[in-house]
Amino acid sequence: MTARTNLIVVVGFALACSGLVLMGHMEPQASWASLLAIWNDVIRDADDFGLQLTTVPDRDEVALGDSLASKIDQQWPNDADASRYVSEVAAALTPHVERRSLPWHFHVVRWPQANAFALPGGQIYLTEQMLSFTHSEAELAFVLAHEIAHVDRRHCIRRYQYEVEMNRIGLGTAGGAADLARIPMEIGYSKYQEMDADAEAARITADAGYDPHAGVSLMLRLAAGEKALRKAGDTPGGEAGDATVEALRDYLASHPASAERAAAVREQLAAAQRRLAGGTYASGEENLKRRIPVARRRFPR
Amino acid sequence: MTFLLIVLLAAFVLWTNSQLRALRRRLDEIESTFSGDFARSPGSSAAALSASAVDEPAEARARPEEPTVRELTPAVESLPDANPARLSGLREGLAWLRRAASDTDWESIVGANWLNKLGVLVLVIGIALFLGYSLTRIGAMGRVGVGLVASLAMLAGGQILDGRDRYRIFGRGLLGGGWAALYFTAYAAHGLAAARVIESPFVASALLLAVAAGMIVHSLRYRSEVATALAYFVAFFALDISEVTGFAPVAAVPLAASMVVLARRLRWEFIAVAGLIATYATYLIAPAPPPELRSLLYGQALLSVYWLMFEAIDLDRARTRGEKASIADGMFPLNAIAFLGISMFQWGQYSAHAVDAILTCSAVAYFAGAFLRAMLARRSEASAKLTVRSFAAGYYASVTIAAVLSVAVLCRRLGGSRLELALLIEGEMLTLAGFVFEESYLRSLGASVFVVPMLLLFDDAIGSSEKIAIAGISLRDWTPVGSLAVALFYLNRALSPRRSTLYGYGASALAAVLLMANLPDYLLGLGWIAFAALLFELGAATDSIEFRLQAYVIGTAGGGFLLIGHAAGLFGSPDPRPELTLALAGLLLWGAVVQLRLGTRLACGESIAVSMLASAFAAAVVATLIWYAAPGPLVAVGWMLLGLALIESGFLTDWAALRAEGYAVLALACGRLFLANLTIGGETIGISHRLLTVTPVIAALYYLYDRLGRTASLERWERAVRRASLWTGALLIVILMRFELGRVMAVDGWAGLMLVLLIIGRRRNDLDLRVQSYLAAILCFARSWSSNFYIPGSFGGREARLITGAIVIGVLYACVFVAPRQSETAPAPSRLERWELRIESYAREALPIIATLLLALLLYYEVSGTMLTVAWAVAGGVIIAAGFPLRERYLRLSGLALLAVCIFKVFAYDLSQLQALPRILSFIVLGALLLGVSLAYTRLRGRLDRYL
Repeated sequence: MTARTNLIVVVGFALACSGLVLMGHMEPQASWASLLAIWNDVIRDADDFGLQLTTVPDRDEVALGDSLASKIDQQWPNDADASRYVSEVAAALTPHVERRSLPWHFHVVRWPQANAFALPGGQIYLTEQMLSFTHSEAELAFVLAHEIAHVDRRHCIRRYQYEVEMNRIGLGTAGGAADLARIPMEIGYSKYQEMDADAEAARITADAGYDPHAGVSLMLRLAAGEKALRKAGDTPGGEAGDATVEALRDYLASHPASAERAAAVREQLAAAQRRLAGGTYASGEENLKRRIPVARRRFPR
Repeated sequence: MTFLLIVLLAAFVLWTNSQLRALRRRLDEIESTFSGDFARSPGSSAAALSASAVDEPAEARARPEEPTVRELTPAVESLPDANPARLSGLREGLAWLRRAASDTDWESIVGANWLNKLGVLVLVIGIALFLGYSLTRIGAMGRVGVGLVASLAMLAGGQILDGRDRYRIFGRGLLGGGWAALYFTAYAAHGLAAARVIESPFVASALLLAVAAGMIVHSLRYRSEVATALAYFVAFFALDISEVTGFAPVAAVPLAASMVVLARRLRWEFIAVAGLIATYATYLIAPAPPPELRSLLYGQALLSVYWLMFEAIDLDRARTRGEKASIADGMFPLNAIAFLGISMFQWGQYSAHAVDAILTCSAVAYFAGAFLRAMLARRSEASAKLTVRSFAAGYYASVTIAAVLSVAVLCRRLGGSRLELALLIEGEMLTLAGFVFEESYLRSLGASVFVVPMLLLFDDAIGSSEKIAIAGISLRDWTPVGSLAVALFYLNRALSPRRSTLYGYGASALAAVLLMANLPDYLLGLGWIAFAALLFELGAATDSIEFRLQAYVIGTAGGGFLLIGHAAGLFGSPDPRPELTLALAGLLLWGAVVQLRLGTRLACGESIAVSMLASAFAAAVVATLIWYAAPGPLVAVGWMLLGLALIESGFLTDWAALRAEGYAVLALACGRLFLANLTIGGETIGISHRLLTVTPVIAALYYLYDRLGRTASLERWERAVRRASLWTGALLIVILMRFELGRVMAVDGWAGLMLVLLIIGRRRNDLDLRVQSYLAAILCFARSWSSNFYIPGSFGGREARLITGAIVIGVLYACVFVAPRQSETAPAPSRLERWELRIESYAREALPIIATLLLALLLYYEVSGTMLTVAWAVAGGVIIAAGFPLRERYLRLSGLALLAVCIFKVFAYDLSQLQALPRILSFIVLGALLLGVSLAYTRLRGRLDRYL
């Protein structure tokens, strides 16, 4: 082909693509999210390379988790009844994870904020406020599955991994320093760990027979309390400037925006529509109210 | 008091007499010395010297003495029989003579000259005091009579002594003092109450005039500037110390007038300057006039008379002066400083209107003076010194003062636009006068006057927000005056005989400021560009670099402002139609580019440089226009099309700079993808908008790579561009796959890309493509190793992970057979290419190793811990088995390495950790495989060399 023919092809292709774009529903957005994502990919790959080579055995991880949990239990009182109910709900979830052999423990603690977190070795914590924030057992299951996924994907142990591994050869301090040095790197991609955990939570809840869409409704309620700060620039420079500010804010944030998380989960569920079709998924509003797990009794809607 | 004065005078006379005797004695000694030494020399110089020294008065002697002695020395040395001893004595005598003569000179000057004048001064002061003193025994008539007698006595004495050569100086001092005393006596006869014998002011004035006339007449007779000056000073001093001073400034008028006439008549320049100082000093020193005369008009009228007198004599000098500088050159500045200084000093007490009127009159007077000076000045002044042209006989200073005064009046009387208008008119009149009379100074003065309204306009521009409506258009209130200034400046630029660029630059700068003041921010850039286009046309039509340079500066500023404003949003009010503004600006700039490229009127270098600048601005403006006009996701595509258009235009016109702009715009489009395309949502018929907008840019990059490859002779930088476009295209594909397929699934896309790049690279024998393939392999390995066997949230479950991993591993093994065993590219000269060759040399060995590593890792995750050794051993065996027929040594080596790991594992882990059955199975399978491999190596030993 001649150069002129190639040019016509390229220009025609560009015009055709542009026409298609104009025909569809556009969602314009200006942000440096792509650069952040690429940067986080690079950092994460580099970080993971070392972490894959120094995987902590389960027994060491469990020991570390028990040690950390004992300290937390001393600080925050445990709600035994609530913990029991939550453990029963979680018992339906843990068979669907990779690390099934871990001794999973679930605690409901009295703390003034709605929050949930996980420790290495299968220690999962939920505050009473978070329990109150959920509207159904399926939502509770999503929260629990999210924290379980953090442990299952070794997100929790990574923060102590070098210290634990170096302790074997008497260089625990150096390992601790390496873990500290990792923290700034992990800041960038910790959001992606959250997204990964959400994705896993959706799968686990679905596999356990809970409505996987419950996670979306939970995220949307959380998003209602967050202010939308992003705005579109009205000039080329303003657009780039706003995008830079947003990128910095996103980079430093530990969690992605709840709306973004909800959209990602919804997108994932849409992609898995065929696989989910035909299954029966419990919501469990009444179960949550009565603190009776779905596994024991199903209430009519 | 008088007695005391007389005693002092007598003592002074006696002392003077004794000094004169001593002088006489010394002169006798000199005479005798020289008479003895040079008696034999007829007509000797010494004799002549003696006679001369005795006969001449001291003052007259002082001058010829030195040359006479100098003349004497060669005369002595030329004596034929002069013996050395006598000559030595003669020289000593001459040295003594010099010392003696010098001492005598000093004494004679002080004694005969200075003391004479001081005495006269003191005496006249005494008479003045006497006349004003209220003695009970002597009435007014008596005082006047005493003063008159003393005056006449001094005059008579002076007249008698003036006739004798020896006492001439002394006599002249007495004459001067006598006249001054007589003058003051005449004044006192009316002006002093204690001595008032004349009641009629008219008679008194007549008497004063008569005395003044007497002075003049007498001065004309003696022609002694020093004596007359002394007399005048005595008179002025007497006026100044008088207790009755209401009339002192008035009385100074005829006195000064008489001095002016004397100076004029006898060309006594010193006396003119001294008279000026004394007259104004009298005005200042004299006590305040009586209350009924304390008015601005009275004081200013007197000052005006003074000024007029001295201005008149200075004007007269303008007509007759020579080239040589003299003390009288300072008359003009002194007169101006004194007149204006004293006037301003007393203006503070009076109303502003009166002051303005006087300022106006002064300005008119100085303009008139300047006109007269210009008329009287000789043509030769053009080459005279600046000081001469300015002050003595020149009109520069006069017209400058007039201009300054008129500016001051205008500033006091007017304000706002009227003031600016008036100042513009004044400046223009001066400038036009400069053109008409071909006087550069007037033009410069006009330009200086223009500075004032320019500063005022500048102040308006930054400080005033007042607006006026003209023909329904709202404009800043100073716009009409500013426009007039622009017109006047361009007119002056046109009239200027040497095409002065100052007015041209000033006019254009002011016009630019006018545009800035009246146009909204968002239109200013366009306005400046349009104005620059006009200037450019003017500059091109008149072949004037001046206007073209202005056009370039203003156009650059306009383009920069337009771009920065629209790109960064710095405008106070946002542009309601940015597309229209930018489109017009782009058209103007492209028009300029076309004209510059097609026209041949300009120098080649200028044409190229400016067209490059204009086209760069045009490209930037159009790119900004695209940003405004196109939807966000399509901006990058629009920029890409613009870049291609510029590149193709650059090829068509063989203009590398245009191609460079195209490359830059294309690079901008690539950057834009990261901001607004790679993470956007939206889709059409199931195709994401990300894909629809990024792929055209990638296609353009590959087109560029191909297009540049077809060009026969590329510069080095364009070869680098070609290579960069290839690498950028590949990079964008990798990144597009990352976002299109997701972080974890992207690895499959990269694997496919790796294979495609390698195949095309081999077919086209393109090292860059092959190296891109190897780098993609590294990327696949890194991503698979770190996270790809952890596919989160995969509803596809383990199968998806297996498929993903298998694809990557399979492609990696496939690439082993596609990669060249040895590089097919000839050794390249560049360092980068040498590095690429080095990478390729390791590719064939590295690919099977990383594929086997990934396979081992995948098995590690997918196979349960009990069967891992078995799985690895089988995989190793298969790899080795495949390595023989495929003749891939590193494939076999990687299989052997995997078997080695298995051997280590069965002893280090399986033996202690696994249960019995899996442990046994691991050992058996591994052992069997090892045997099989060993057998294969044994059987194929002979052919192994062929497989290597």
